[in-house]
Amino acid sequence: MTLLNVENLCIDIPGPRGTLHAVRGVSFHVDKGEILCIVGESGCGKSLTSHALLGLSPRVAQVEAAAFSFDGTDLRRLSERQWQGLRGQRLSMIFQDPMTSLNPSFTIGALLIEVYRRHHPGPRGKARARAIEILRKVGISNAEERLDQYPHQLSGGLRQRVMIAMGLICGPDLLIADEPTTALDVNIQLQILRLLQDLKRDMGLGMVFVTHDLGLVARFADRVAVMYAGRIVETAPVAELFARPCHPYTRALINCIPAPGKTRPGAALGAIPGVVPSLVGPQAGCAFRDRCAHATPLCQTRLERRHDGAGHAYECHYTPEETAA
Amino acid sequence: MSDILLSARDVRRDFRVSGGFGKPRRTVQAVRGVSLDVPRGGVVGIVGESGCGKSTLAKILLGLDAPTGGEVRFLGQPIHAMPRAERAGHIQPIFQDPYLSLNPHKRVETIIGLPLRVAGVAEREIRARVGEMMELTGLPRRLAGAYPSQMSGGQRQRVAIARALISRPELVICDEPTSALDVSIQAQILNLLQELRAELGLTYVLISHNLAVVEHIATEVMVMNRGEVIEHRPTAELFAAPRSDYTRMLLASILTPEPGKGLPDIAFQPA
Repeated sequence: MTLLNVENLCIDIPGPRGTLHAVRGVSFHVDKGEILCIVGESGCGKSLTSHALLGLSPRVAQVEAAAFSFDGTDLRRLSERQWQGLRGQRLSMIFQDPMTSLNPSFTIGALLIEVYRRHHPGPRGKARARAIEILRKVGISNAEERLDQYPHQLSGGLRQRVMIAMGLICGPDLLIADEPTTALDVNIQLQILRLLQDLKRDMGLGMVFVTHDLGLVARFADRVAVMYAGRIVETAPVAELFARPCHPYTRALINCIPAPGKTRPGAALGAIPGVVPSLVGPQAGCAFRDRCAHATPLCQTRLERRHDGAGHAYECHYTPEETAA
Repeated sequence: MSDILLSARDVRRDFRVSGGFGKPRRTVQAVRGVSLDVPRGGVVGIVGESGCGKSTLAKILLGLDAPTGGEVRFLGQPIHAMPRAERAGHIQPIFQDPYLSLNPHKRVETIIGLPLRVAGVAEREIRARVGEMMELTGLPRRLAGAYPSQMSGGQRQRVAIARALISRPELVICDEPTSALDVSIQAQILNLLQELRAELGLTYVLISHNLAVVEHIATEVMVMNRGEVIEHRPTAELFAAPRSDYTRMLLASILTPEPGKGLPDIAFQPA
Protein backbone atom coordinates (compact mmCIF):
# COMPACT_ATOMS: atom_id res chain seq x y z
CA MET A 1 0.00 0.00 0.00
CA THR A 2 1.42 3.37 -0.97
CA LEU A 3 1.80 5.60 2.05
CA LEU A 4 3.48 8.59 0.51
CA ASN A 5 3.39 9.63 -3.11
CA VAL A 6 5.34 12.55 -4.51
CA GLU A 7 5.37 13.52 -8.15
CA ASN A 8 7.46 16.19 -9.76
CA LEU A 9 8.30 18.09 -6.58
CA CYS A 10 10.03 21.39 -7.33
CA ILE A 11 11.43 23.77 -4.74
CA ASP A 12 12.60 27.19 -5.91
CA ILE A 13 14.20 29.79 -3.71
CA PRO A 14 14.26 33.31 -5.19
CA GLY A 15 17.43 35.25 -4.54
CA PRO A 16 19.16 38.47 -5.58
CA ARG A 17 21.21 36.70 -8.27
CA GLY A 18 18.32 34.70 -9.68
CA THR A 19 16.17 31.81 -8.59
CA LEU A 20 17.86 28.85 -6.94
CA HIS A 21 16.31 25.69 -8.35
CA ALA A 22 17.15 23.58 -5.33
CA VAL A 23 14.85 20.63 -6.04
CA ARG A 24 14.02 20.13 -9.71
CA GLY A 25 11.26 17.63 -10.30
CA VAL A 26 11.64 14.81 -7.79
CA SER A 27 9.22 11.86 -7.80
CA PHE A 28 9.10 8.93 -5.41
CA HIS A 29 6.77 6.86 -3.32
CA VAL A 30 7.05 4.98 -0.04
CA ASP A 31 4.98 1.91 0.84
CA LYS A 32 3.89 0.77 4.26
CA GLY A 33 6.77 -1.08 5.89
CA GLU A 34 9.30 0.15 3.37
CA ILE A 35 12.55 2.02 3.87
CA LEU A 36 13.43 4.46 1.11
CA CYS A 37 16.94 5.86 1.48
CA ILE A 38 17.72 9.16 -0.22
CA VAL A 39 21.47 9.43 -0.76
CA GLY A 40 23.31 12.48 -1.87
CA GLU A 41 25.98 14.98 -0.95
CA SER A 42 25.70 18.44 0.61
CA GLY A 43 23.56 20.76 -1.44
CA CYS A 44 21.81 18.09 -3.51
CA GLY A 45 18.42 19.07 -2.09
CA LYS A 46 17.86 16.05 0.12
CA SER A 47 17.20 18.02 3.30
CA LEU A 48 14.89 20.49 1.55
CA THR A 49 12.99 17.53 0.11
CA SER A 50 12.62 15.85 3.48
CA HIS A 51 11.48 19.06 5.15
CA ALA A 52 8.92 19.66 2.39
CA LEU A 53 7.43 16.25 3.16
CA LEU A 54 6.39 17.66 6.53
CA GLY A 55 5.24 21.03 5.27
CA LEU A 56 8.26 22.64 6.91
CA SER A 57 9.80 24.38 3.91
CA PRO A 58 11.43 27.75 4.54
CA ARG A 59 8.96 30.59 4.08
CA VAL A 60 10.78 32.00 1.06
CA ALA A 61 10.71 28.68 -0.78
CA GLN A 62 8.19 28.09 -3.56
CA VAL A 63 7.09 24.48 -3.37
CA GLU A 64 5.16 22.86 -6.19
CA ALA A 65 4.25 19.29 -6.98
CA ALA A 66 2.08 17.48 -9.51
CA ALA A 67 1.02 15.07 -6.77
CA PHE A 68 1.80 15.05 -3.06
CA SER A 69 -0.29 12.73 -0.97
CA PHE A 70 -0.03 10.81 2.28
CA ASP A 71 -2.32 7.82 2.77
CA GLY A 72 -4.87 9.26 0.34
CA THR A 73 -4.81 12.80 1.75
CA ASP A 74 -3.70 15.53 -0.64
CA LEU A 75 -1.04 17.35 1.37
CA ARG A 76 -1.02 20.34 -0.99
CA ARG A 77 -4.43 21.44 0.26
CA LEU A 78 -3.77 21.18 4.00
CA SER A 79 -4.14 24.22 6.22
CA GLU A 80 -1.47 24.88 8.84
CA ARG A 81 -3.84 23.58 11.49
CA GLN A 82 -4.38 20.34 9.61
CA TRP A 83 -0.63 19.95 9.19
CA GLN A 84 -0.22 20.31 12.94
CA GLY A 85 -2.66 17.47 13.49
CA LEU A 86 -0.68 15.22 11.18
CA ARG A 87 2.87 16.15 12.13
CA GLY A 88 4.29 14.24 15.06
CA GLN A 89 1.26 11.95 15.01
CA ARG A 90 1.04 9.95 11.78
CA LEU A 91 3.89 11.68 10.02
CA SER A 92 6.95 12.29 12.07
CA MET A 93 10.49 13.51 11.71
CA ILE A 94 13.88 12.95 13.28
CA PHE A 95 16.20 15.87 12.69
CA GLN A 96 19.91 15.74 12.14
CA ASP A 97 21.39 17.72 14.97
CA PRO A 98 20.48 16.74 18.53
CA MET A 99 22.60 19.58 19.93
CA THR A 100 20.31 22.27 18.51
CA SER A 101 16.96 20.54 17.99
CA LEU A 102 16.06 20.00 21.65
CA ASN A 103 14.78 22.98 23.62
CA PRO A 104 17.37 23.45 26.40
CA SER A 105 14.94 24.95 28.89
CA PHE A 106 12.70 21.89 29.25
CA THR A 107 13.41 18.50 30.74
CA ILE A 108 13.44 15.43 28.54
CA GLY A 109 10.19 14.36 30.18
CA ALA A 110 8.46 17.67 29.45
CA LEU A 111 9.54 17.52 25.81
CA LEU A 112 8.32 13.96 25.31
CA ILE A 113 5.07 14.40 27.22
CA GLU A 114 4.22 17.57 25.29
CA VAL A 115 4.46 15.76 21.96
CA TYR A 116 2.31 12.90 23.21
CA ARG A 117 -0.39 14.99 24.87
CA ARG A 118 -0.63 17.29 21.87
CA HIS A 119 -2.12 14.35 20.00
CA HIS A 120 -3.52 12.24 22.85
CA PRO A 121 -5.22 14.54 25.35
CA GLY A 122 -5.47 12.77 28.68
CA PRO A 123 -3.82 12.37 32.06
CA ARG A 124 -0.15 13.28 32.43
CA GLY A 125 0.53 9.97 34.13
CA LYS A 126 -0.38 8.05 31.01
CA ALA A 127 1.83 10.24 28.85
CA ARG A 128 4.69 9.81 31.31
CA ALA A 129 4.34 6.04 31.23
CA ARG A 130 4.42 6.15 27.44
CA ALA A 131 7.53 8.39 27.56
CA ILE A 132 9.32 5.87 29.78
CA GLU A 133 8.30 3.02 27.51
CA ILE A 134 9.63 4.73 24.38
CA LEU A 135 12.91 5.76 26.06
CA ARG A 136 13.49 2.12 27.00
CA LYS A 137 12.79 1.14 23.41
CA VAL A 138 15.49 3.42 22.07
CA GLY A 139 17.96 1.81 24.45
CA ILE A 140 17.99 4.18 27.42
CA SER A 141 18.03 2.01 30.53
CA ASN A 142 17.39 4.35 33.48
CA ALA A 143 14.50 6.07 31.71
CA GLU A 144 12.68 7.41 34.78
CA GLU A 145 15.78 9.27 35.91
CA ARG A 146 16.40 10.68 32.43
CA LEU A 147 12.91 12.19 32.28
CA ASP A 148 13.89 14.77 34.88
CA GLN A 149 17.17 15.71 33.22
CA TYR A 150 17.79 18.59 30.83
CA PRO A 151 19.26 18.10 27.35
CA HIS A 152 22.64 19.55 28.38
CA GLN A 153 23.05 16.81 30.97
CA LEU A 154 23.01 14.13 28.30
CA SER A 155 25.75 13.03 25.91
CA GLY A 156 25.32 13.48 22.17
CA GLY A 157 24.34 9.87 21.66
CA LEU A 158 21.70 10.00 24.37
CA ARG A 159 20.32 13.28 23.04
CA GLN A 160 19.96 11.78 19.59
CA ARG A 161 18.10 8.84 21.11
CA VAL A 162 15.78 11.28 22.86
CA MET A 163 15.15 12.94 19.47
CA ILE A 164 14.31 9.57 18.02
CA ALA A 165 12.02 8.81 20.95
CA MET A 166 10.18 12.10 20.32
CA GLY A 167 9.69 11.07 16.69
CA LEU A 168 8.32 7.67 17.66
CA ILE A 169 6.27 8.40 20.76
CA CYS A 170 2.94 8.71 18.92
CA GLY A 171 3.54 5.61 16.85
CA PRO A 172 3.70 7.26 13.40
CA ASP A 173 2.97 5.51 10.09
CA LEU A 174 5.71 7.33 8.26
CA LEU A 175 8.99 8.54 9.64
CA ILE A 176 11.17 11.10 7.87
CA ALA A 177 14.72 10.87 9.18
CA ASP A 178 17.36 13.35 8.07
CA GLU A 179 20.79 11.86 8.85
CA PRO A 180 19.65 10.72 12.29
CA THR A 181 22.73 8.63 13.06
CA THR A 182 25.53 10.63 11.46
CA ALA A 183 26.80 12.04 14.75
CA LEU A 184 26.65 8.74 16.64
CA ASP A 185 29.26 6.10 17.37
CA VAL A 186 29.06 3.04 15.17
CA ASN A 187 27.61 0.71 17.78
CA ILE A 188 24.94 3.19 18.87
CA GLN A 189 24.11 3.83 15.23
CA LEU A 190 23.64 0.12 14.76
CA GLN A 191 21.39 -0.10 17.78
CA ILE A 192 19.14 2.71 16.48
CA LEU A 193 18.97 1.20 13.01
CA ARG A 194 17.95 -2.13 14.48
CA LEU A 195 15.21 -0.44 16.49
CA LEU A 196 13.88 1.27 13.37
CA GLN A 197 13.97 -2.01 11.48
CA ASP A 198 12.00 -3.71 14.27
CA LEU A 199 9.36 -0.97 14.10
CA LYS A 200 9.16 -1.42 10.38
CA ARG A 201 8.63 -5.15 10.75
CA ASP A 202 6.25 -5.06 13.72
CA MET A 203 4.22 -1.95 13.00
CA GLY A 204 4.62 -1.48 9.27
CA LEU A 205 6.47 1.82 9.77
CA GLY A 206 7.40 3.40 6.44
CA MET A 207 10.55 5.50 6.29
CA VAL A 208 12.26 8.12 4.22
CA PHE A 209 15.83 7.96 5.44
CA VAL A 210 18.16 10.69 4.23
CA THR A 211 21.86 9.91 4.48
CA HIS A 212 25.19 10.20 2.73
CA ASP A 213 26.53 6.93 4.11
CA LEU A 214 26.45 4.31 1.38
CA GLY A 215 27.44 1.53 3.77
CA LEU A 216 24.36 2.25 5.87
CA VAL A 217 22.19 2.38 2.74
CA ALA A 218 23.39 -1.01 1.57
CA ARG A 219 22.59 -2.67 4.88
CA PHE A 220 19.40 -0.84 5.80
CA ALA A 221 17.40 0.35 2.77
CA ASP A 222 14.77 -1.46 0.74
CA ARG A 223 14.94 1.05 -2.07
CA VAL A 224 17.40 3.81 -2.82
CA ALA A 225 17.08 7.17 -4.56
CA VAL A 226 20.37 8.85 -5.47
CA MET A 227 20.08 12.64 -5.61
CA TYR A 228 22.41 14.97 -7.41
CA ALA A 229 21.93 18.71 -7.89
CA GLY A 230 18.22 18.65 -7.08
CA ARG A 231 17.21 15.60 -9.10
CA ILE A 232 16.90 11.90 -8.42
CA VAL A 233 19.43 10.63 -10.95
CA GLU A 234 18.91 6.97 -10.18
CA THR A 235 16.48 4.88 -8.18
CA ALA A 236 16.44 1.12 -7.67
CA PRO A 237 15.93 -1.65 -5.13
CA VAL A 238 19.03 -1.69 -2.93
CA ALA A 239 20.62 -4.94 -4.14
CA GLU A 240 20.07 -3.94 -7.78
CA LEU A 241 21.60 -0.50 -7.23
CA PHE A 242 24.84 -1.89 -5.83
CA ALA A 243 24.99 -4.80 -8.27
CA ARG A 244 24.28 -2.69 -11.34
CA PRO A 245 24.73 1.04 -10.72
CA CYS A 246 23.76 2.70 -14.01
CA HIS A 247 24.25 6.43 -13.58
CA PRO A 248 27.89 7.56 -13.79
CA TYR A 249 27.41 9.57 -10.57
CA THR A 250 26.15 6.55 -8.63
CA ARG A 251 29.11 4.53 -9.83
CA ALA A 252 31.57 7.27 -8.92
CA LEU A 253 30.02 7.60 -5.48
CA ILE A 254 30.31 3.87 -4.80
CA ASN A 255 33.97 3.97 -5.87
CA CYS A 256 34.68 6.81 -3.44
CA ILE A 257 34.17 4.85 -0.26
CA PRO A 258 36.87 2.74 1.30
CA ALA A 259 35.30 -0.68 1.90
CA PRO A 260 37.17 -3.17 4.07
CA GLY A 261 37.82 -6.28 2.02
CA LYS A 262 37.03 -4.58 -1.28
CA THR A 263 39.24 -1.58 -1.77
CA ARG A 264 42.94 -2.28 -1.48
CA PRO A 265 44.38 -0.50 1.57
CA GLY A 266 46.54 2.43 0.54
CA ALA A 267 45.33 2.45 -3.07
CA ALA A 268 43.88 5.68 -4.45
CA LEU A 269 40.12 5.99 -4.07
CA GLY A 270 37.96 7.00 -6.99
CA ALA A 271 37.50 10.70 -6.33
CA ILE A 272 35.02 12.73 -8.39
CA PRO A 273 36.80 15.68 -10.03
CA GLY A 274 35.27 19.14 -9.96
CA VAL A 275 32.47 20.56 -7.85
CA VAL A 276 28.68 20.55 -7.82
CA PRO A 277 27.30 23.08 -10.36
CA SER A 278 25.40 26.18 -9.32
CA LEU A 279 21.64 25.72 -9.47
CA VAL A 280 20.93 29.44 -9.73
CA GLY A 281 19.21 30.46 -12.96
CA PRO A 282 17.74 28.32 -15.75
CA GLN A 283 19.00 24.73 -15.88
CA ALA A 284 19.24 22.41 -18.87
CA GLY A 285 20.56 18.96 -19.56
CA CYS A 286 22.39 16.68 -17.14
CA ALA A 287 23.80 18.45 -14.07
CA PHE A 288 26.59 15.90 -13.73
CA ARG A 289 27.99 16.47 -17.25
CA ASP A 290 30.91 18.68 -16.19
CA ARG A 291 32.23 16.01 -13.83
CA CYS A 292 31.40 13.03 -16.03
CA ALA A 293 34.04 11.35 -18.20
CA HIS A 294 31.42 10.19 -20.67
CA ALA A 295 29.58 13.45 -21.31
CA THR A 296 28.74 14.38 -24.91
CA PRO A 297 27.15 17.54 -26.38
CA LEU A 298 23.78 15.83 -26.05
CA CYS A 299 24.13 15.96 -22.24
CA GLN A 300 24.17 19.78 -22.30
CA THR A 301 20.69 20.14 -23.64
CA ARG A 302 18.61 17.10 -22.88
CA LEU A 303 17.88 14.64 -20.13
CA GLU A 304 16.76 11.13 -20.74
CA ARG A 305 15.12 8.87 -18.21
CA ARG A 306 15.47 5.15 -18.71
CA HIS A 307 13.39 2.47 -16.96
CA ASP A 308 13.93 -1.25 -16.84
CA GLY A 309 10.32 -1.93 -15.81
CA ALA A 310 11.37 -3.54 -12.52
CA GLY A 311 11.76 -0.36 -10.49
CA HIS A 312 15.23 0.58 -11.67
CA ALA A 313 15.32 3.98 -13.36
CA TYR A 314 18.16 6.35 -14.15
CA GLU A 315 18.73 9.60 -15.98
CA CYS A 316 21.42 9.16 -18.57
CA HIS A 317 21.48 9.01 -22.35
CA TYR A 318 23.81 6.08 -22.24
CA THR A 319 23.56 2.56 -20.89
CA PRO A 320 26.01 1.42 -18.22
CA GLU A 321 27.78 -0.65 -20.87
CA GLU A 322 28.34 2.50 -22.92
CA THR A 323 29.64 4.47 -19.94
CA ALA A 324 31.70 1.66 -18.39
CA ALA A 325 35.16 2.97 -17.59
CA MET B 1 62.36 2.56 8.77
CA SER B 2 62.22 1.27 12.29
CA ASP B 3 63.30 4.49 13.99
CA ILE B 4 60.76 5.92 16.37
CA LEU B 5 59.68 9.50 15.68
CA LEU B 6 57.37 10.03 18.59
CA SER B 7 57.03 8.01 21.71
CA ALA B 8 54.59 8.39 24.56
CA ARG B 9 55.17 6.62 27.87
CA ASP B 10 52.40 6.03 30.37
CA VAL B 11 50.61 9.26 29.48
CA ARG B 12 47.80 10.25 31.83
CA ARG B 13 45.45 13.19 31.81
CA ASP B 14 43.01 13.95 34.60
CA PHE B 15 40.43 16.70 34.47
CA ARG B 16 38.86 18.27 37.52
CA VAL B 17 35.23 18.78 36.66
CA SER B 18 32.24 20.15 38.44
CA GLY B 19 30.15 17.41 40.01
CA GLY B 20 27.00 19.46 39.45
CA PHE B 21 25.47 22.38 41.38
CA GLY B 22 26.39 22.21 45.04
CA LYS B 23 28.27 18.96 44.69
CA PRO B 24 32.03 18.53 45.19
CA ARG B 25 34.33 18.54 42.19
CA ARG B 26 35.41 15.18 40.90
CA THR B 27 38.22 13.88 38.72
CA VAL B 28 37.70 12.41 35.27
CA GLN B 29 40.57 10.30 33.99
CA ALA B 30 40.40 11.01 30.26
CA VAL B 31 43.64 9.25 29.37
CA ARG B 32 44.89 6.50 31.67
CA GLY B 33 48.42 5.38 31.04
CA VAL B 34 48.77 5.29 27.27
CA SER B 35 52.08 4.25 25.74
CA LEU B 36 52.60 4.58 22.04
CA ASP B 37 55.46 4.52 19.52
CA VAL B 38 55.03 6.20 16.16
CA PRO B 39 57.55 4.83 13.64
CA ARG B 40 58.92 7.20 11.00
CA GLY B 41 56.97 6.92 7.76
CA GLY B 42 54.10 5.04 9.39
CA VAL B 43 50.45 5.90 9.76
CA VAL B 44 49.17 5.13 13.24
CA GLY B 45 45.38 5.06 13.37
CA ILE B 46 43.71 5.72 16.72
CA VAL B 47 40.10 4.53 16.93
CA GLY B 48 37.51 4.46 19.65
CA GLU B 49 34.09 5.79 20.57
CA SER B 50 33.42 9.39 21.50
CA GLY B 51 34.72 10.10 24.96
CA CYS B 52 37.43 7.44 24.84
CA GLY B 53 40.16 10.04 25.16
CA LYS B 54 41.47 10.03 21.62
CA SER B 55 41.20 13.79 21.07
CA THR B 56 42.71 14.51 24.49
CA LEU B 57 45.61 12.25 23.54
CA ALA B 58 45.96 14.11 20.23
CA LYS B 59 46.28 17.43 22.05
CA ILE B 60 48.95 15.96 24.30
CA LEU B 61 50.89 14.52 21.37
CA LEU B 62 50.76 17.95 19.74
CA GLY B 63 52.07 19.55 22.91
CA LEU B 64 48.93 21.71 23.18
CA ASP B 65 48.01 20.13 26.48
CA ALA B 66 50.31 18.86 29.20
CA PRO B 67 49.80 15.34 30.55
CA THR B 68 49.09 14.89 34.26
CA GLY B 69 51.58 12.04 34.25
CA GLY B 70 53.93 10.35 31.83
CA GLU B 71 56.01 11.80 29.05
CA VAL B 72 56.01 12.36 25.29
CA ARG B 73 59.30 12.45 23.40
CA PHE B 74 60.00 13.50 19.85
CA LEU B 75 63.21 11.85 18.60
CA GLY B 76 64.22 11.44 22.23
CA GLN B 77 63.47 15.07 23.26
CA PRO B 78 60.65 15.65 25.75
CA ILE B 79 58.17 17.74 23.73
CA HIS B 80 56.69 19.58 26.65
CA ALA B 81 60.09 21.05 27.48
CA MET B 82 60.73 22.06 23.85
CA PRO B 83 60.25 25.72 22.84
CA ARG B 84 56.89 26.12 21.13
CA ALA B 85 58.29 27.26 17.80
CA GLU B 86 60.64 24.31 17.61
CA ARG B 87 57.90 21.85 18.45
CA ALA B 88 55.63 23.40 15.83
CA GLY B 89 58.37 22.85 13.28
CA HIS B 90 58.25 19.10 13.92
CA ILE B 91 54.60 18.37 14.66
CA GLN B 92 51.54 19.94 13.05
CA PRO B 93 47.79 19.31 13.36
CA ILE B 94 44.93 18.92 10.91
CA PHE B 95 41.60 19.29 12.66
CA GLN B 96 38.18 17.94 11.95
CA ASP B 97 36.11 20.88 10.98
CA PRO B 98 37.54 23.17 8.31
CA TYR B 99 34.61 25.50 8.99
CA LEU B 100 35.85 26.14 12.51
CA SER B 101 39.61 25.68 12.30
CA LEU B 102 40.31 28.49 9.80
CA ASN B 103 40.17 32.15 10.81
CA PRO B 104 37.26 33.61 8.81
CA HIS B 105 38.80 37.11 8.77
CA LYS B 106 42.06 36.10 7.07
CA ARG B 107 42.75 35.42 3.43
CA VAL B 108 43.86 31.98 2.36
CA GLU B 109 47.47 33.02 1.68
CA THR B 110 47.72 34.57 5.14
CA ILE B 111 46.30 31.45 6.80
CA ILE B 112 48.67 29.12 5.00
CA GLY B 113 51.70 31.35 5.57
CA LEU B 114 51.12 31.95 9.28
CA PRO B 115 53.34 29.13 10.63
CA LEU B 116 56.26 30.61 8.64
CA ARG B 117 55.51 34.15 9.77
CA VAL B 118 55.56 32.95 13.38
CA ALA B 119 58.89 31.26 12.72
CA GLY B 120 60.27 34.57 11.40
CA VAL B 121 60.78 33.58 7.77
CA ALA B 122 61.24 36.45 5.28
CA GLU B 123 58.04 37.68 3.62
CA ARG B 124 59.40 36.97 0.15
CA GLU B 125 60.15 33.34 0.92
CA ILE B 126 56.78 32.94 2.61
CA ARG B 127 55.03 34.02 -0.59
CA ALA B 128 57.01 31.53 -2.66
CA ARG B 129 56.35 28.68 -0.27
CA VAL B 130 52.65 29.45 0.02
CA GLY B 131 52.41 29.23 -3.77
CA GLU B 132 54.32 25.95 -3.75
CA MET B 133 52.11 24.54 -1.00
CA MET B 134 48.89 25.56 -2.75
CA GLU B 135 50.00 23.76 -5.86
CA LEU B 136 50.95 20.67 -3.89
CA THR B 137 47.58 20.51 -2.17
CA GLY B 138 45.63 21.12 -5.37
CA LEU B 139 44.39 24.63 -4.60
CA PRO B 140 44.03 26.92 -7.62
CA ARG B 141 46.26 30.02 -7.35
CA ARG B 142 43.30 32.37 -7.83
CA LEU B 143 42.04 31.36 -4.37
CA ALA B 144 45.07 32.94 -2.65
CA GLY B 145 43.12 36.13 -1.93
CA ALA B 146 39.86 34.39 -1.03
CA TYR B 147 38.37 34.07 2.45
CA PRO B 148 37.45 30.66 3.90
CA SER B 149 33.73 31.48 3.61
CA GLN B 150 34.08 31.65 -0.17
CA MET B 151 35.38 28.10 -0.41
CA SER B 152 33.86 24.63 -0.34
CA GLY B 153 34.48 22.22 2.52
CA GLY B 154 37.01 20.23 0.51
CA GLN B 155 38.95 23.36 -0.43
CA ARG B 156 38.98 24.51 3.18
CA GLN B 157 40.40 21.19 4.31
CA ARG B 158 43.10 21.56 1.64
CA VAL B 159 43.93 24.96 3.14
CA ALA B 160 44.21 23.32 6.57
CA ILE B 161 46.53 20.68 5.11
CA ALA B 162 48.64 23.30 3.33
CA ARG B 163 48.97 25.24 6.58
CA ALA B 164 50.00 22.11 8.45
CA LEU B 165 52.65 21.16 5.91
CA ILE B 166 54.22 24.52 5.09
CA SER B 167 56.69 24.42 7.97
CA ARG B 168 57.83 21.00 6.68
CA PRO B 169 56.94 18.99 9.77
CA GLU B 170 57.93 15.35 10.11
CA LEU B 171 54.75 14.36 11.93
CA VAL B 172 51.16 15.38 11.22
CA ILE B 173 48.42 14.63 13.71
CA CYS B 174 45.08 14.41 11.92
CA ASP B 175 42.05 14.50 14.21
CA GLU B 176 39.06 13.27 12.18
CA PRO B 177 40.34 14.96 9.00
CA THR B 178 37.45 13.88 6.78
CA SER B 179 34.45 13.39 9.03
CA ALA B 180 32.94 16.80 8.24
CA LEU B 181 33.20 16.18 4.48
CA ASP B 182 31.06 14.55 1.81
CA VAL B 183 32.12 11.12 0.59
CA SER B 184 33.43 12.28 -2.78
CA ILE B 185 35.43 15.01 -1.05
CA GLN B 186 36.58 12.59 1.63
CA ALA B 187 38.04 10.43 -1.13
CA GLN B 188 39.88 13.44 -2.60
CA ILE B 189 41.34 14.39 0.77
CA LEU B 190 42.39 10.82 1.65
CA ASN B 191 44.07 10.49 -1.74
CA LEU B 192 45.83 13.81 -1.18
CA LEU B 193 47.06 12.75 2.28
CA GLN B 194 48.43 9.54 0.77
CA GLU B 195 50.20 11.35 -2.08
CA LEU B 196 51.72 13.92 0.26
CA ARG B 197 52.94 11.22 2.58
CA ALA B 198 54.76 9.47 -0.25
CA GLU B 199 56.11 12.70 -1.72
CA LEU B 200 57.25 14.39 1.49
CA GLY B 201 58.04 11.32 3.59
CA LEU B 202 55.50 12.28 6.24
CA THR B 203 54.37 10.34 9.27
CA TYR B 204 50.74 10.52 10.38
CA VAL B 205 48.79 9.89 13.52
CA LEU B 206 45.23 9.53 12.25
CA ILE B 207 42.40 9.79 14.73
CA SER B 208 39.06 8.67 13.43
CA HIS B 209 35.89 6.91 14.36
CA ASN B 210 35.48 5.80 10.74
CA LEU B 211 37.07 2.37 10.80
CA ALA B 212 36.88 1.96 7.04
CA VAL B 213 39.01 5.09 6.61
CA VAL B 214 41.52 3.85 9.18
CA GLU B 215 41.72 0.43 7.58
CA HIS B 216 42.33 2.13 4.26
CA ILE B 217 45.30 4.31 5.16
CA ALA B 218 46.75 3.28 8.54
CA THR B 219 49.72 0.93 8.77
CA GLU B 220 48.97 0.15 12.39
CA VAL B 221 45.93 0.70 14.58
CA MET B 222 45.53 1.49 18.25
CA VAL B 223 42.09 0.85 19.74
CA MET B 224 41.15 2.93 22.78
CA ASN B 225 38.32 2.60 25.25
CA ARG B 226 37.75 4.64 28.40
CA GLY B 227 41.18 6.21 28.20
CA GLU B 228 43.08 2.96 27.90
CA VAL B 229 44.72 1.13 25.03
CA ILE B 230 42.81 -2.03 24.21
CA GLU B 231 44.94 -3.27 21.33
CA HIS B 232 47.72 -1.86 19.19
CA ARG B 233 48.74 -3.96 16.19
CA PRO B 234 49.45 -3.80 12.45
CA THR B 235 46.26 -2.89 10.56
CA ALA B 236 45.82 -6.04 8.50
CA GLU B 237 46.36 -8.26 11.54
CA LEU B 238 43.95 -6.34 13.72
CA PHE B 239 41.20 -6.32 11.13
CA ALA B 240 41.71 -9.99 10.29
CA ALA B 241 41.84 -11.28 13.86
CA PRO B 242 40.90 -8.83 16.62
CA ARG B 243 42.04 -10.07 20.02
CA SER B 244 39.68 -8.29 22.37
CA ASP B 245 35.90 -8.40 22.54
CA TYR B 246 35.77 -4.64 22.39
CA THR B 247 37.64 -4.48 19.09
CA ARG B 248 35.52 -7.31 17.73
CA MET B 249 32.38 -5.36 18.63
CA LEU B 250 33.72 -2.20 16.95
CA LEU B 251 34.66 -4.05 13.79
CA ALA B 252 31.33 -5.85 13.67
CA SER B 253 29.51 -2.50 13.77
CA ILE B 254 31.05 -1.25 10.51
CA LEU B 255 28.40 -1.04 7.83
CA THR B 256 30.22 -2.19 4.71
CA PRO B 257 28.41 -1.60 1.41
CA GLU B 258 27.18 -5.15 0.98
CA PRO B 259 23.44 -5.25 0.39
CA GLY B 260 21.74 -8.49 1.30
CA LYS B 261 23.80 -8.88 4.44
CA GLY B 262 21.45 -6.76 6.50
CA LEU B 263 22.47 -5.14 9.76
CA PRO B 264 25.20 -6.92 11.72
CA ASP B 265 23.88 -9.08 14.52
CA ILE B 266 25.69 -8.25 17.72
CA ALA B 267 24.59 -7.87 21.30
CA PHE B 268 24.50 -4.52 23.09
CA GLN B 269 24.49 -3.30 26.59
CA PRO B 270 21.99 -0.50 27.13
CA ALA B 271 23.47 2.90 27.87
